[in-house]
Amino acid sequence: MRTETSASPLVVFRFGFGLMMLLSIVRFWAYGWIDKLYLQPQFHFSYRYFEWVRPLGNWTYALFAITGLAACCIMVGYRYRLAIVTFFLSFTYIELMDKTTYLNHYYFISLLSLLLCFLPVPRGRGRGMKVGRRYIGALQLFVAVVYFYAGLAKLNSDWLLHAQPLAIWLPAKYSTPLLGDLLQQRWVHYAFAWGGAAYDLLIPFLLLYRPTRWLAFGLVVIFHVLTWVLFPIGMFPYIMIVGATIFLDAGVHDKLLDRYDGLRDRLRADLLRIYSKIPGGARQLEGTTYSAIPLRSLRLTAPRFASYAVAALLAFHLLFPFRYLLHGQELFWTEEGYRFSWRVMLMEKAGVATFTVRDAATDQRTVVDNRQFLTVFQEKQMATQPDFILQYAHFLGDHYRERGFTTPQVYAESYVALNGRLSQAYVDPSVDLTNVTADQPVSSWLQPFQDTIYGL
Amino acid sequence: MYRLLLPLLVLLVACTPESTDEPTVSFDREAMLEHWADNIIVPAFQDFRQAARQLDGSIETYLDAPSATTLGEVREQFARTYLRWQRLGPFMVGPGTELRLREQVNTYPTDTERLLGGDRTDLSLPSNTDVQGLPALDFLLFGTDNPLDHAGKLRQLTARLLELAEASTDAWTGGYRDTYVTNSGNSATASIDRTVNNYVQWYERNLRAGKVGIPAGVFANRPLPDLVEAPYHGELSKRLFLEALDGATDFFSADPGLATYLDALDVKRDGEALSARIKSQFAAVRTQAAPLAEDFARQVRDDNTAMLELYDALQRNVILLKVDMLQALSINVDYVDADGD
Repeated sequence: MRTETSASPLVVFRFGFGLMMLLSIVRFWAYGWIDKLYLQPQFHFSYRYFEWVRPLGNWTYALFAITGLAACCIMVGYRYRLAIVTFFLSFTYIELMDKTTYLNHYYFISLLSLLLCFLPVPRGRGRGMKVGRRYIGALQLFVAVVYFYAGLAKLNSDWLLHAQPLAIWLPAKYSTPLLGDLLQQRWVHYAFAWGGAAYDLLIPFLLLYRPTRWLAFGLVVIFHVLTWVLFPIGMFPYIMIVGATIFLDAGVHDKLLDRYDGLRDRLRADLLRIYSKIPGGARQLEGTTYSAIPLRSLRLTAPRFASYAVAALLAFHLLFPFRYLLHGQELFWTEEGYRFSWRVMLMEKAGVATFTVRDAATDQRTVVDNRQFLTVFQEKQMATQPDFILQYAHFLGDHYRERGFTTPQVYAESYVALNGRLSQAYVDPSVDLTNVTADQPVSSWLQPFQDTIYGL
Repeated sequence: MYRLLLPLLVLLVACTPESTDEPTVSFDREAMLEHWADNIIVPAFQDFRQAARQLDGSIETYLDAPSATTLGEVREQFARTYLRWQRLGPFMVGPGTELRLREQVNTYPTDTERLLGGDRTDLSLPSNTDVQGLPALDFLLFGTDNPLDHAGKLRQLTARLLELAEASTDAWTGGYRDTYVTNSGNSATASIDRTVNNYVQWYERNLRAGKVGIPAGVFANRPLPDLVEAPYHGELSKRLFLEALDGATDFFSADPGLATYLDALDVKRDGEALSARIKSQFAAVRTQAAPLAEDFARQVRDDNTAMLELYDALQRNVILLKVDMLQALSINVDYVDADGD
């Protein structure tokens, strides 16, 4: 464990991570999503204990700019420690502003950037630097767990025996070039389901085992390009491909960086030639070329507390996804412990929820038009997730109290269809949701799920 | 190792459960769009235009030679136009949206005071949707002492109605039809997604809420009988509802259409085809509506419970259409442009 290795895998990882994050932020901004997802909605679904995290009005743009700038600094390796801490804080703040936009890969980025805060990552090119192998191992474990847990989550009867929800999603991709017709076939849905589960479960080991490493890396690229073609998952495929580079031998990274050095030296020489024609210009570029810097065997270490932090973070990473075991009910139905546990593409859940607010004092009642308070996207997310429904119901209660209802009661009539089952009533329509707290088990105010899903 | 690994992967894929005798889906979506456009949507627009022309003509005849007969003819043409309009309801994709057809043709209740007050109203203004269209004509023809007193208004309103009918029909026949049919992809902006979204939204808002739920007081504290469709005619609201319901049913059951699309995807729920469930719910709605009064306003006043039962029957199909059908067809409710995972 104490053995040392070249730090270049960390340098390449840092560069790739920074680049991907920079592109993600620019893309998010360019699509107008800052305005659409954070500024236009008048109501925001906040995470429990993080209710104080809110969009900052027009300053939200500044927040994204800071995140982008930090990503840029991470990429080039300028003030790395400050940059990665800033990135972690600002990115996580953005993600906590509204859980409507929750995605597993955003959580992946938050957690990974926190881990990167504690790793001894070289600031710049890191030429000749050495780090303990365990730091690279920590990153490998981090990425491996994401795959493996995503694979474990697929070991359920909906995924394996019914090929759901792929059997719903894939046929709708009928206009995909080359694949369109194939995606209509039932056996293809099963092949994707079983292949996907096998991929997730095996890929960490294939990446770790030296003889299969390059094959595995090829599979990573093929798999993620395929998901990019078929599903609207944004930058995620590229981020995962970059993430998988951490499994490649240090020698590969060394070679990559050497090539970069060569490129840089040549550029420098060219510039020097041009500058030398300008009087006094050459002096500005004086100095040695990069590859001529003697190799110093500098050993990068992390302070003791950082090692503890890495260990604690990895323990959290390993354990937190299993918190669903504390709740007895069907996870897909109640979603208690569903988020933050690498359950990716497991559910096709659709629903409608209609709220009635009644003033107990006067028996006055009104049916709420959700679009008055929520965006289409928020309404869609709200209708199938109990914690959203509860938060919104409480908001409605408060809103109508301000509008003159003395004792507002909020009832929801809602229906949800899960993975191609017939829709069934979701929230118990006789429960006044203003009396329900977030501490109460969701199953106490939801209708029971009328089916059984077997598996993990 | 590689030699071992590839067979292993092949084995894993091959070990998938036997794909029994389930049918291979080969549903021609472009053919469905062609059928919708050529045999349902465009004819509905042409029928509506035809009716609007005859209404316009009957108004001219009436104003030239006012008599009980010519007024009767106007009223009949009005009812015919209103009925034809019901068949257009779900098809506001494209020209319908651009021309704000539904807002201008059928916004009710009419603001009668403003309608009678304004002489030179610019009918194209969004603020004036509630002083024009079929509901305003309903008031002028059936709700005033003498329609002749409002000759100018009658002319203006029918002319505008005809103008909109001509413009929207021309747009469909003159190019939009081809755009519509060829946009057969699976993106959220493609024709199938948008048509189905329009259809479901119309069923929910205009058919279920507008014609039944709102007058029955579902969304308020008390019944609001004055908010039925064509309240001044007094014998039309149920026929309008039934015509719209037929429109909804026929569009769903068209072949090729949504029902056959669902069947091609082999969508079963609890052992029963989803298409059959939806069809039988449409039939249940019809049964529920059969004994109701011709005038829904009277029905609300006399026995609102029956109206509320009709609403519940309609609501059951909102769930089946909006939740189950959209999920099965993998169509998003409205267009949300964001990443998923």
